[in-house]
Amino acid sequence: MSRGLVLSCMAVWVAVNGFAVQRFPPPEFDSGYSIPTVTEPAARGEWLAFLDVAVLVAALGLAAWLSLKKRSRKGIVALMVFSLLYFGFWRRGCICPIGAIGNVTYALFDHAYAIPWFVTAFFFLPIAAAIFFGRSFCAGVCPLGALQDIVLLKPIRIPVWLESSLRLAAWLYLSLAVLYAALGSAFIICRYDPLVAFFRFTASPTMWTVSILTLALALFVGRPYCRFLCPLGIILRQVSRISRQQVTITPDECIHCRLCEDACPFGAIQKPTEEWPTSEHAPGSRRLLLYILLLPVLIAGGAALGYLAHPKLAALDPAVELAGEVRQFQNEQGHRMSDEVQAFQASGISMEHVYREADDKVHQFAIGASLAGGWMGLVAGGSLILNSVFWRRHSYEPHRSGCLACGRCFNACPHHRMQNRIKAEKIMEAGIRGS
Amino acid sequence: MDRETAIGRYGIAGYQAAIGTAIVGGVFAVVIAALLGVHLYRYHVTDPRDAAALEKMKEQAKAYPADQTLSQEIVVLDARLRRDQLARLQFLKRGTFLLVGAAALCVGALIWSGGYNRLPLPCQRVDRKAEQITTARRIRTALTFSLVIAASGSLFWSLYTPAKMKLQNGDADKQAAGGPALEEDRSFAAMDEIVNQWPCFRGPQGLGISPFKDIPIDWDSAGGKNIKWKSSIPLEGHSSPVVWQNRIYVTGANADQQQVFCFDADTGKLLWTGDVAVADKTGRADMNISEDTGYAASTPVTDGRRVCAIFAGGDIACFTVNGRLLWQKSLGIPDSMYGYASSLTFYEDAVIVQWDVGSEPGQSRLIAFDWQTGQIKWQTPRPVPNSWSSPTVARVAGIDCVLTAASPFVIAYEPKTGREMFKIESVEGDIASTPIVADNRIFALEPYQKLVAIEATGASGNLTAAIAWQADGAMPDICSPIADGPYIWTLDSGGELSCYKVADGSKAFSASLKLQFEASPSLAAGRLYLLSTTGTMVIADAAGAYKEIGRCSINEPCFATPAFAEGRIYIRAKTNLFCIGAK
Repeated sequence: MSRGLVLSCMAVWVAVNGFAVQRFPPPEFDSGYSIPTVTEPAARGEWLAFLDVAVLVAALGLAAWLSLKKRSRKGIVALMVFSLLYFGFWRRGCICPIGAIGNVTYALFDHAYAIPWFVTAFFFLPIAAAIFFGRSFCAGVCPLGALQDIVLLKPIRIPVWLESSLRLAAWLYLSLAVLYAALGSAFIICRYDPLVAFFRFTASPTMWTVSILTLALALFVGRPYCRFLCPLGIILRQVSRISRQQVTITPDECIHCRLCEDACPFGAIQKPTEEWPTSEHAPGSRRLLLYILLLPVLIAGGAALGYLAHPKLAALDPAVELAGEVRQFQNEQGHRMSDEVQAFQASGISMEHVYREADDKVHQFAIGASLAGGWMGLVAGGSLILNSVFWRRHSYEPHRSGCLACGRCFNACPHHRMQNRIKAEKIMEAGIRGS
Repeated sequence: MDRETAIGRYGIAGYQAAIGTAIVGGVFAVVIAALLGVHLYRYHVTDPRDAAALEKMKEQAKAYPADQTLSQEIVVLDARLRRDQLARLQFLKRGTFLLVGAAALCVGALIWSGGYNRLPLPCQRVDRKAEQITTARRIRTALTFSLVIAASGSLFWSLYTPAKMKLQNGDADKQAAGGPALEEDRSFAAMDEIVNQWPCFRGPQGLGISPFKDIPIDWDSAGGKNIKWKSSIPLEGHSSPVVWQNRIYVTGANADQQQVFCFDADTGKLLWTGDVAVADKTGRADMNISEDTGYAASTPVTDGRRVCAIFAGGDIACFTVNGRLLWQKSLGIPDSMYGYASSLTFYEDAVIVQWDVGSEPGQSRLIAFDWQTGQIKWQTPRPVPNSWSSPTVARVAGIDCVLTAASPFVIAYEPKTGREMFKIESVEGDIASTPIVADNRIFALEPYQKLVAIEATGASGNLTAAIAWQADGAMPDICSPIADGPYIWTLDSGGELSCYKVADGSKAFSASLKLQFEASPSLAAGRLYLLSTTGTMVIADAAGAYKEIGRCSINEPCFATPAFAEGRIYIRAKTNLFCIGAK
């Protein structure tokens, strides 16, 4: 029912947005048409920023309550619908805590950048919530997650080994996002948001294609962006490892009925484990030692790869891009003058300045990319080490970091169903007595 | 609600209807998604905002702001592209609406059918110990493979994929050390730079004299002897090559195209081709172009920073030495009996055009364009009809002036302002030869009639001119004269080489070379170089008596005056550019 409501709302929203403004530059010649005076829309009221933050706080609290106390999948879905409408279609996906990573990083590295207070709040509130309640933000507040969750029709199971490998992509994306934001080059998370095209009904053809493909993938793979790319997801994963409260599959003691094994489309239910075989102790220890010794090598290798990639990575920086354009225009026959080069010409800035700035930026990228590469080496080495350590589990548990608190597993648990039935019967009895 | 519950609640017919609706909605969504995909791909490939045709027309419009037809075409094309763009956006929005609607229908029907939810099913029992060990091993293996693939991919991307950014190390330092500016290189060539180049028709000051001594005297294209290289010129033209350091520029044109070509002087490799748009296609079709003149008879000019060319249709364009178009203008289709053929010359930061047109005086002008911007610095009306002679910048009585010859005047202009310095009635008819300066005298030719020596005197720009002497005879109608101080030589189209004394105009000798000539004679290392229309170069002593040193051939028709550089001669033949010199 709730999904039908979501999709109906989406359809209405699309129809409303069908009348949105069409973009096209005005004519450069006198066609007899008088172009209306450009008017600037009024600045967004400050109180609306307060409202956004208040809604975020309320939604996070509600998500935590629904997943930890109420244990209601329907409630979570209803919250998803609200978040999708409010943070997605109404706020058009901006500002969102995922994109705020760029703003916060930039503010940390460039003190001249005055980061708005509500952007900071949007970044830290989901993390604060994760410290106490796990991934409440992912559960029902994130509009990107909500959209993917609702369209999940026929989930296919991704093997654990594949999931572990693909997750490295999210680490890489986070590293690059921090690198570009720290150097003031780009907020790549916002630029390459794979679903914002649906919220705004406008995007470049490439991003439209990416959006459609992501949504098509989400029909069969549970929340692909959240699991394999989301940079905030990576942060929340680590924070939720230490969270005070966690989602539980069963409200009571696990009876090992195994009905929940298949319930999670995100592969976040961990089975109970046996004793680690004695025959595996010695080779396991040697393997662990090997990976620990390999860690510096992986860090150094990552740093070297980062350093080698820095000229290509730097190409995305506007200063480097402009210098490249200027140089190309200066030296290559038939090269069309780009808008950037035209603007540069009009600015009166010397070419030496442009080249010098680009050189400085490339140098900064050499350092930054090496650090990012080294960090990726550490992440990869850490993953190998973590997967060489035996973790003991006595019952079916949601993965502390991987669980998105979507509540799908609740209904698979006989204890949960039983409790709900008892509750329903009590309510009915109370109703009969009351009447 | 599962499948059984749904059947129980809605009956088998209701269940089947739900499944059918879900299938229809799903198929419709897939079709819409596919159509949107195709649409987006097409949009990506042909973004109307980047329409090349419109951009090209806009560039042309900048060069020819008065062209109303072009403006109208731009308006029509722009409006069409706007309509296309709006239709595309509308299609995109409607498509998205339909896609979401169809997807909603599909999901709703699935919920109705109970197929969306299902009862949990326990997985098969497995040996947990073995599964644990296997899973951990697979994860480690997968991580290791991922690392190897990621590292290899990163390495390949870093080292072997082409860089989008064209910045190079040290660009800033090069720029700081005085590299070329992007927008404006306002510098111009100094006189001591020019004398060692061949920057315009007949070289420095249009004298046809090379300062170099090691000019070849023996070559043969049949055996390849002393032919350093030979390169094909994409379009024909009668214009001469000009040379600056290691670059050679020539022009070529036909009824549809006008181009400037840049060749590497050492290898003959075509470095770039600059297109000059035809401004008036309709007028060009009606243009009176003689075969002897062609569409590219005017020789371009270069100052080592830029190269500028003018064509028979009145289109003039300037490029950087790297081939970037700086500006282009149209002077209109010239009213010229045999087709416009005057070459360009330059003085400091100005390119000078002798725009002699019309069968009667009244339309002709001498125009100076700014090298860098194409703006008109000055223009001076000329009291002459159409002519085919080229202007030359020379020093007369210690003063730099632009010398021109056209019936009936030889006129000198101040090169910075275009002010007329003197005008002397001296030559009549269809003037094609260029005046020269030798021994402080100006020499001009009246075709078939006479050679005139003009004495100019004065100071501070106030010159007066008088005819010192005139020599009557069968004077050339095309080739310009050449002089080395004591003697002046003339060469007519029929091959009659005549020599006169500069001092008094008395004839020193006359010799028949038995060849046809259209290229003007040149002088290098004390030798006359006379290029015939058959491609045979007659080399003779530059002396008061005719003494032939030799004849060398490239076996290809030649109409353009050759250019000279240190140890080399560049000959533009009908279809090829030859470099004569030691290999």
